[in-house]
Amino acid sequence: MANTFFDFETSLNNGENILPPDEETTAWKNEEEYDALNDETFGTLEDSSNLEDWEQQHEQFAEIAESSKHSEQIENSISQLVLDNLSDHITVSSSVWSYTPASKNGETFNSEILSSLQKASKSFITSHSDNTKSNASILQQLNKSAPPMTISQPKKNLYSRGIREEPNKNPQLQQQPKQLQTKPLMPPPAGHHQGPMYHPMVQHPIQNTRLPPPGLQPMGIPPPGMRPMPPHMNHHHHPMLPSLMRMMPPHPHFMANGPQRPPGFMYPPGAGQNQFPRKHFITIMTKLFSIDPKVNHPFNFPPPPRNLGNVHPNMQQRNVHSLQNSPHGHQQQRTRYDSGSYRQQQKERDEIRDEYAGLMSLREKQWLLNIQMLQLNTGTPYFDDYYYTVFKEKKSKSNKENLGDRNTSYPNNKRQHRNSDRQENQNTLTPRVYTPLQFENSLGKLQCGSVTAPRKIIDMDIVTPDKDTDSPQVARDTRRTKQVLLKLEALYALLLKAEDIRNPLYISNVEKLREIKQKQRLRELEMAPTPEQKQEILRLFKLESEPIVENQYDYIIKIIQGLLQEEKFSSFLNIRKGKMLILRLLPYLTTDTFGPQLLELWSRVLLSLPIVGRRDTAGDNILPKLFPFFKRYIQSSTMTDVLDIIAGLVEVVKQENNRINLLVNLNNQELTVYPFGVSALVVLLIRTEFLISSDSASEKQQNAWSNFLQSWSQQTEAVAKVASPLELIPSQIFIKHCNRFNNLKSDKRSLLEKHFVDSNN
Amino acid sequence: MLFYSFFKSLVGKDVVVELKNDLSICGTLHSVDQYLNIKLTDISVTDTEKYPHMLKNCFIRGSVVRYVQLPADEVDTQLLQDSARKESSAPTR
Repeated sequence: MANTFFDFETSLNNGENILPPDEETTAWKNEEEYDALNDETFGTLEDSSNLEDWEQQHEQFAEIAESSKHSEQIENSISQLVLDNLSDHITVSSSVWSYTPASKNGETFNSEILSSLQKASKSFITSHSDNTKSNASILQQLNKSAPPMTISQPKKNLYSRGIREEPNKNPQLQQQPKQLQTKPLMPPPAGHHQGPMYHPMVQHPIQNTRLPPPGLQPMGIPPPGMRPMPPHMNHHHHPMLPSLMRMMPPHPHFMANGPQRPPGFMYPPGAGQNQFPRKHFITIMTKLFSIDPKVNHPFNFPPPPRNLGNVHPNMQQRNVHSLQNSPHGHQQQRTRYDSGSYRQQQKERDEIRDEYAGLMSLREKQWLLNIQMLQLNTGTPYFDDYYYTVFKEKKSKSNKENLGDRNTSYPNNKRQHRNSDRQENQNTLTPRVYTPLQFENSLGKLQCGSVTAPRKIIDMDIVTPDKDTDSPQVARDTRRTKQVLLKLEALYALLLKAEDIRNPLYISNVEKLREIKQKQRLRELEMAPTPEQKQEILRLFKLESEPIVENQYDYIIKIIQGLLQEEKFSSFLNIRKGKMLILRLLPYLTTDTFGPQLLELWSRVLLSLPIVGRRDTAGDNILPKLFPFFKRYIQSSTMTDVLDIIAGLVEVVKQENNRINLLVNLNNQELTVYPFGVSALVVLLIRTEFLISSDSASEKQQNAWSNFLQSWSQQTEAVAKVASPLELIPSQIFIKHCNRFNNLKSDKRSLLEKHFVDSNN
Repeated sequence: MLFYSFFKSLVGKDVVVELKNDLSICGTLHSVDQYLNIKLTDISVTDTEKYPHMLKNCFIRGSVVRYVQLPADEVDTQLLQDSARKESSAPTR
């Protein structure tokens, strides 16, 4: 809370100053008494520690800006300083900074007025003598800091030098160098008229104006050709300079706010370049000199950054003004060519209208961008920047693989690259024609809204169904699906953690995070005031120092149990997310550690195939991706496992007399329709053959299997369209297998052979 | 910082940015920052006659963006899902 508020106490009970009932009138009465620019409102500028406080700084600037608005003061000082011979002509008004074409002595009027204004500003400055002191202290502070600030001193000299180099056609010029060296704090004249259009970058216009940013590169000395400039232009540099300096990036400001800098802050690389080129500086000076006073130059401050595509309406207005200015503008543009600045001549011709281009070099812009980017630097990109980090890694991996695999087609690749490059180049040269998104097989086009004709958006209303009986069912269904989704998400979270444990990126980032935390704790320890807090911090420090050992097995087991607990396993498989979860989980499920779970899992998968299969073949086709894992599992399974798996598939209905008659479950039929199911059966067969031949299968088991074979062949017959398996049975194995079982009739056998046996092998 | 990270991976690709004032700008994504301010180069609008002052580049403040239309092949949806999960479970946030 402020200590005072318009000289009133800020305490609630008002302390001594209890206002009378008609509070408002008395309050407003007091307005006349208080000075808007008092120290209490705006603070004093006594010590340099104030500089650290940006609020106070801002107040100072606002004060100065405010005070400059008071035309009274200026008028007064002007009237004091008015020259004798002009007392008749000059009509000093609040529009003293505006262009008044109706003036008799156009040239002399402006020049005289401006010189007197300069004097006024000087007096203004001296009246605020504190400023210079604080400015000096600012300078000291800034000079202490790193390389960038060494520019300040030479810069000052250059100021004066630059001015002196200009033709001394006007004797008043000589006053100006001195003035400049005393750091004129003249507020920008145009600032008031333009208020909101102030330069977006600058926060603290005035105190830092005298110090240009480091590495202000692309300044150039105008050639001597610039000399024959209209003499009346020389006066403008004074009011313009501060504004111009304001345009410089607020680098000193950064300097001043040392402790607030981000931890990893380094002085921008551009700062080190002290080749403060006087060239450019003097270009600016002459640019100022060359501006015709008759034109609305005040309105051109602050200049808009050139490279923005969208032009603010105010700026447009200004551009119009600058169009009037064009002959001069052109001239000064040309001077910049000759001075060998970085811009190319072609570009210059395009930008004839823009006088304020090139205020920042590419390096400076990069410097600013780097500052922004630095704030985003973290030591742990895997945590903070996950998508980008992993994406890049994947891309680089795939690139390496591509390079390795496609060495033979290298010329093809090159050609492809060239083609794409050519396309890119063409795009940059010719303006791209944008057509809004178009969909195939749609009636009509997407509504493309514009600023003048906005797009109509369809409103959606919730329509209550007519039948009330349906709604509880519907609600239950949605609730169920939501529950399934939530469960899946929980499992995914566990899976991600499990995957991370073995991920080298994760491990390194965790280490880094731990180090950062430790450092932070140490810092806190140093700063902790009380011993109890120190103890607390120490405790936390020890806690965090211990590396957390995590077991991947624990996570996996949790996931698989979570999966299998669910009764409606098929609901998981119905959703794409569920299938992906299983796909990602399977690599971790090794047969030796997770045998029983795998068995359970696969039997359930096969069981739910009829429900899930249609959806899968229509859309995602993820089930076939599960096949390699299934194969891997089966190849290490026993006969019991095999029979367990198929047990669920075949419903054995024991008829009284005939054990052979099997009522085949619908599942079995479905199995033959889907490629995954069929492939599974194929693998099962191969395995069974192997097991039987190695005498690992008992008699009973073999019988059960032969029954299954029969039903399988029956189903193959019944089904209209039998899917082809991903892997076929080698014919030798098939022949061998069938010879064992005599109950398989020949036609059935041939049917099986046709679909599932590899004829080549 | 999920979307900042996401857009960083799309730098250099062609996108269409639809603004809240119904303006659609097509261009190449040049850069993005943590506020999702977007810089586009080589921009084009549907109606060039209406917007003649649209030069080659533009800077769009993040808060005025309604949609960003992206090329589908440049996006890894699985990775995006994973990063969303991590973002939600991250303890530091």
